[in-house]
Amino acid sequence: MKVRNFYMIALLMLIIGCNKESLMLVPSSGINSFPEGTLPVPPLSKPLMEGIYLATTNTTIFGDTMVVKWNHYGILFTCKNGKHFIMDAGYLDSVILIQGYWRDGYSDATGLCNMSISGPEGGNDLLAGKPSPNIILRGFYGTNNEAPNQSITLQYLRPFSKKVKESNFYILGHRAGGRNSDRLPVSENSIAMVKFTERLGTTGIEVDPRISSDGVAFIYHDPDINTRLTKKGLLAGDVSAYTWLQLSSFVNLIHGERIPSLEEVLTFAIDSTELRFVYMDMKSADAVPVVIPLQQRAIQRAKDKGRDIIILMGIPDTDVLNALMAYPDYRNVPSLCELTVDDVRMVNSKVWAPRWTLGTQNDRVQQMHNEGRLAVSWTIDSPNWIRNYLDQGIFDGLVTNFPYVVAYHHYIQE
Amino acid sequence: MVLVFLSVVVYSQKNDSVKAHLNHYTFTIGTGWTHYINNLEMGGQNIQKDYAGVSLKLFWEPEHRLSLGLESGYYKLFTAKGQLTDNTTGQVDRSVIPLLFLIRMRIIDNVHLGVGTGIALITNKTAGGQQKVVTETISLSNFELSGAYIYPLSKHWLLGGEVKLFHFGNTEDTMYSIQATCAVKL
Repeated sequence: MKVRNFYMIALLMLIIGCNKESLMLVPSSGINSFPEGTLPVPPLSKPLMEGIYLATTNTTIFGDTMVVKWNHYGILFTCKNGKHFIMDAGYLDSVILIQGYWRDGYSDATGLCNMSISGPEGGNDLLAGKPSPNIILRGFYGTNNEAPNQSITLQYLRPFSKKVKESNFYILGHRAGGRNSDRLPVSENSIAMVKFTERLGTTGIEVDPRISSDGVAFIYHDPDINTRLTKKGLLAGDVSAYTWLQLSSFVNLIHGERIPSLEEVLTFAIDSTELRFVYMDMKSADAVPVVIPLQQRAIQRAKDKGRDIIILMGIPDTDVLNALMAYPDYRNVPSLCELTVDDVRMVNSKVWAPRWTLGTQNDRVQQMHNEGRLAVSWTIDSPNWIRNYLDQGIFDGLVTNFPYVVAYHHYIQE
Repeated sequence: MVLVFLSVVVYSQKNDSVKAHLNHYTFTIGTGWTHYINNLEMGGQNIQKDYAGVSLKLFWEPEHRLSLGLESGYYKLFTAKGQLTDNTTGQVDRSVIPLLFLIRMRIIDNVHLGVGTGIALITNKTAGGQQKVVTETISLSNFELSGAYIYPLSKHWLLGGEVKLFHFGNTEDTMYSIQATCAVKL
């Protein structure tokens, strides 16, 4: 009897132990706060801080070089091995303070970090709007929620190369900028992700439009309501069977956000980010006639606001292609075609987007360039392949789940 | 699971006192109380979780201890009614029809333990937000654990009771049921 009881208890513990994995991997407590009186870094100083830095301590963890790049909401430090620092910065007197957290895109590692640039080590020059060749960042990083206690020092090596500064390369974040499976602090395909993704190094996003039963376009990746994407709630089954009111009332994404309408996403991307590319990867041919007027309004809004942003309807399959071609003026609908180059020409797509497993295809990409079109490849995540595509390919952008890795390999180019 | 299963087999064989009735089929119908384990993260404050459910099982009993079978049935998981969110009223019902492959083993005399896995059709009916919507989802990763006491009334008829736990993977719903059962040996 005792043996049986033991196994029954073990079985019960096994069942109880099968909980969902942790939703996010960033430090959950102790995020640093700036001292009172800290001011935002002046806009003139930001580009002067950007560039390639040498790590002079703890190179086994973060590698020996880092790319430092400002974005709309903060500053990104990204390493060759997928580790990256999501930071905010301000200044107090002559010291530039940088605080936030680091995480590893390929493992569970994370921790807090704070750094600073003292006045004599670059702070004075940078805050005066003058380039400084001798910037040194000194600080500490920690592991998980521990207070930062390991020293880290970065020394300015060089600015971005002329090639990088003159390029118009797009780093496109998948699913509005990041996937749930990468355990980011906000949900994929949410407004919060559109806001967050620039912190990961993206300059554009891929989103997944669907249509509700009453004709409202919204973004959501999967065909059904499930606990991978949403908090467990009252609705289940085909997400497109529900009305927009039902979806927006009853469904919360995994981190609590509402499912956003496509119009909300486009408006936010135009008004509140510096993103330059929105790739609407159509999940349903039925959504095409709904999305076209939204796209037109968004393009007009961007134009009115002087925003340099491309907003494209993605054509992932022949159903969407045929739905688009049913539209009278389809050749003037700005689109991105994932099919053949002949299809690209037929619908006059602005961008050709072959899947990355087909290779760099430089001859065809060059043909597209010769015709005044762009080419981007999707969805490329391996660091080695990312580097190969940047070294050997001539694509104008890459869709990725690891934008900080693409950012590292792009910005470090000489 | 395998370790648990083998241990129970060894334990049971030492305590066996029931004569074998080899290679026959048994059809079982059961009905009783079901309870949904409420793990809803949204909208789960005011839900009805207790219902009557019905199950149907067909077992092949090739030897004196192990049985193989199929189980289906109908279970209502929950009904949410009234103020579903801060600004929406309505009603949501979720029900399930499982179709599971079962392995059942007699442990001692009339006591059986079973495990099952298979598919389930999950139906969600939503009336709220201005429109009624019915969706059906096939859940592929589901399991059942059960324990039953089955008393033979005659050569062909058996009565008993059963406790079982279901988990439906697609929606991560879990419920248990206590049922009275009636079986006939075919």
